[in-house]
Amino acid sequence: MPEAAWTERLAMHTSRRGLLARVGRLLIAGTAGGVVARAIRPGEAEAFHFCGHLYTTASCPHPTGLPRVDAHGFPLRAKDGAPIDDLGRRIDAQGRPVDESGHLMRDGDGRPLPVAPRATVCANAAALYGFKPYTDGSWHRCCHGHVRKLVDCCGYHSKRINGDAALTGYCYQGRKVFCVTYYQTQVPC
Amino acid sequence: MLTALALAAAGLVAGATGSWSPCGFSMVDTLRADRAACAAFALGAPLGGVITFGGLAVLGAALGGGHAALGAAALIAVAGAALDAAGMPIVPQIRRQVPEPWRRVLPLPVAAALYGVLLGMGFTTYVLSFAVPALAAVSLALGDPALGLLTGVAFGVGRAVPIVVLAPLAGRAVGMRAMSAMAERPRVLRAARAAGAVALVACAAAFAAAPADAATRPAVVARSATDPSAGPDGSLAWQVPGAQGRLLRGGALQDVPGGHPALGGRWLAYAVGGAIQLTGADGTTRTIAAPADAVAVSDRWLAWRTPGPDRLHVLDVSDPAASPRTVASTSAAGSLSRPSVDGDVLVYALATPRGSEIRAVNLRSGRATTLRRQRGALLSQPAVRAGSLLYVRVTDTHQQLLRGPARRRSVRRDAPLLTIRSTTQRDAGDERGYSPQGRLPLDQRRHPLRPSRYVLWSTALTTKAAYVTRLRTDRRAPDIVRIQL
Repeated sequence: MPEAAWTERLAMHTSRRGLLARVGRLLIAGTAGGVVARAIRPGEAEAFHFCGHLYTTASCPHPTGLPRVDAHGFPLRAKDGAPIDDLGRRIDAQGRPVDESGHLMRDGDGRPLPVAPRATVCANAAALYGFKPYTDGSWHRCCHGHVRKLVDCCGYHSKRINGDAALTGYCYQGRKVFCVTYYQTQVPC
Repeated sequence: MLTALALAAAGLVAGATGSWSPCGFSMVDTLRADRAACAAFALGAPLGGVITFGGLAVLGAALGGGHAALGAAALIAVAGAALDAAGMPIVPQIRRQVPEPWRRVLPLPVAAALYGVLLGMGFTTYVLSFAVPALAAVSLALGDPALGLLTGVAFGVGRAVPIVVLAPLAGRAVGMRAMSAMAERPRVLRAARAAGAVALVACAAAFAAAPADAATRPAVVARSATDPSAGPDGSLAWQVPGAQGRLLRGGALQDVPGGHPALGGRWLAYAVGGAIQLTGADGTTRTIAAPADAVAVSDRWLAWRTPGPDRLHVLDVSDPAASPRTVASTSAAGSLSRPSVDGDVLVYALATPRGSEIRAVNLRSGRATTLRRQRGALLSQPAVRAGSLLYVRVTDTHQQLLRGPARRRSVRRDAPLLTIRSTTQRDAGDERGYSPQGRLPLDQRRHPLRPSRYVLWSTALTTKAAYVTRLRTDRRAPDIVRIQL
């Protein structure tokens, strides 16, 4: 009889009117909480060509396709988050190309293959299309069970990479979105 | 490219000549004023062309046609051109027509589409020029499905355009004048056949020129080989991975008693133990105590690389009293390529995480120049000969062997001798289950391109040929290929 005991204890410590008011507040709180809970329920974000990206601006040019970057904007391979250079080669901490097993790639004499440049994806897009790059604001959404940061590559230009009018997006001070990247965190959601 | 253009032109003209057939005239009056029917016909005709010419090309490929049949294709084209130019009657003629009841029992657009397919196929009704059988034979002989597809589409477009242009005008004065000219002036048809003959001659010329294109294809000159070095007499030396060098001179292959062999001027140089051995054409020898993992030599200069971190050193071999001097170095994070020397010019590539560039040093004056630099690309493996520079450019999409003058200028102006895909596997550009909108143009294909299994590597250059090592991504032995200049 735990439920009867709970109601009896509550009734003994209050008047009938006070009891009704308290129950009413609980009901309202429960209903509002349900709405809020539904609104903030974790789940896959609606998106265009990759999860979390809510509008039509295309990807920034990226060595392997999907514009996944690290926390500093340098390119990562989308499928596994491996760091890559501007040529799309998987690299080690020194920037040297490695194979899928993580071993250094070597020439016929056993020398490691040369390092290639590695710049941020936004900087390379800006160099390619001729504008000064900025990464301003961002937004976070839940994608594939982890929080994903959507990062716009911004600049002072009227057209985006798609070729049509650029939008403000997460850019500040009159800058507009040229292309988009994302950073996949390890934060579960 | 030239072959494709010539075949497309010949296909267009051959298709258009078919407008003089009974079926061609019938179509003009059948489709008149019905835009949907005209559009359906315009779609059906190229499809028919693809069925015939593309199908023959696929058959030719299965029979092993290939470019070995270019001579036969050229002869066929010339024969067709001669017959059309002479206005010879078409024999044997195909005295068949498309089924007339279709226009009565089927909705007109459906009938028009089917008529288009039949006429686009070329051999289902009357043939009006020898260009049609000539192109069919050429498609079979070449055995190139892409060229067959192109020829078929061009033939179908040529078949459709006169009809869909004339059909809406058939009831007007201008249309009637055009139809009268076609029907009553034989010289118009003769002119069309003559144009077809000209296009076929262009095809024959393109086929004849094609072997020159083929000469630019890479030919394997050494297997299990890397780091080529070419001498002024056409001899070629290379390193066998994990072993010593080899020398191909005057058609004879011989082992070199050391590694990293290099040819230049009168010298053959190679590394042995902790020294570099120089052997002159006159039998003179000289030994320089220097550990080296790459060597280059000219008449006057010997250059070599020492690793960890990389350094390039040179020695004036014409001066017995000269001592080595260091001309280039880099930090541990960077690397220097093999050196290449021609006359007094040394070239090498510097690669660092910030970028890469190809540099030249005038060994007489000591003046250094940056010859090539490009953001986002890896420029490496330069070779220099007679004022020309050969090097490898790698981006996220391609690997290229480029040649240009050995002076400072833009990479974009250099001529690609060989282009292959990069070793990078791209993804689809969009995530599974999401819209493909927003993918980069590069990724807008059904499946991502497969990466190359080769890494273009060390190079050598003569005035007649370029050489490049191909490393294998599957760890099989590298080889050296030659591209004739």
